[in-house]
Amino acid sequence: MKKGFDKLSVRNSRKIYLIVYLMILALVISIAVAKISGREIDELTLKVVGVFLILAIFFTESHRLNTYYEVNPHSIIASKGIFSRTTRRLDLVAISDANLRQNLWERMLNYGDVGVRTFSDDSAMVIKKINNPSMFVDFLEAKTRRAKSQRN
Amino acid sequence: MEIEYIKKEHGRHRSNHHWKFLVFVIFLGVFSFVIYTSFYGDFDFTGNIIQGSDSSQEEKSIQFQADLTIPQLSIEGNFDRIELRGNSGSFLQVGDQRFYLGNVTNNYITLNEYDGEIAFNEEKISVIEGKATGVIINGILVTSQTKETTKITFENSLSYDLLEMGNEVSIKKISYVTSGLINVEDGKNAFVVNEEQVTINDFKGSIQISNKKFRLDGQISDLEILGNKNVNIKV
Repeated sequence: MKKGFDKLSVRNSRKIYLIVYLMILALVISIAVAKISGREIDELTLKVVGVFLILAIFFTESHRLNTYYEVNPHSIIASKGIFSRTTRRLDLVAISDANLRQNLWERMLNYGDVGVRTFSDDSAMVIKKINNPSMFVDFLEAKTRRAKSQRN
Repeated sequence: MEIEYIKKEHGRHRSNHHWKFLVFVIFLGVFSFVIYTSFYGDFDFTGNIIQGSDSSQEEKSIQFQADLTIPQLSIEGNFDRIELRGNSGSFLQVGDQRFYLGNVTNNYITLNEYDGEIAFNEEKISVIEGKATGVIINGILVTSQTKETTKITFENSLSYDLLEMGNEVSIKKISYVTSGLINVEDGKNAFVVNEEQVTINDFKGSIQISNKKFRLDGQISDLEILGNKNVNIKV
């Protein structure tokens, strides 16, 4: 979560890929245990594990880089895509409220979804799986209040 | 009239679940593969699928037997069985156990399924370093309690009078000045060599060293004798 004076930019939390990281760890540990106990490790096995690790890291990072959210003094921006990008911009003055959704697991790890509603639409934008969502909501609400007061 | 809009998000959730399930299944497959190949059994993927006949190799090789002087040689590979007899004022390390070889004049050692290096000359075995599934020292079986193979090292060289290596010993090339008797193609051609340069290529067979004789019995691709007579036999 990058925070400048007036801007907050976030991406998906890496915590959502915890299961993938645990899979990687399980494979690395099993190879290490085999090596330490003097077993011979097949070359094909090492290649298969290597390919799985590379693909796992590649796809998790690609998925994470696919989404980008930003709150600036005027709007909230949701951007999706790496090569072909779709960007949605929502004026802060149009926002009615924001809600926070976390299940038990997400509460334990402090990440979750923030739903941003506008006066005209029930659920205008969902900021998905970001770290420290309550801080994001606080920041958004502060910016929204400021934008509305400046307009008035 | 009230119009109710229902957003369909279930399809996307199901798609996400499918991806997660697929990743988990792939992980289970990879993990099972790692556990099986590393901890259980000998797994040879390509070896089980591609199994060619060796008859083409046998047709392109020469049957070979020789009794020669002992060369200085270092061989690395897999040996079905190595038997040796000798003594050393030093230790044989088998896994985490050390056996002193100086107590007995002639220690009889057998290595089963040995994978590693063995280097010897006329007098001594200078290197035995590798792994074996079983080691028998003077009739006592020594194996690892926890591992399939046991690491083996001679701490110093071993004076020996017997060395036998199993049937699938492979040596790319042996070339040295030697004396002895060479039989090719079941005795169809026999050569007595006397301090002549003998070069043997692609030997596959058994090796026995005893009574100061280096006995080879197997197949070769090429034999060259340079000296009093010049002989060159190729497949």
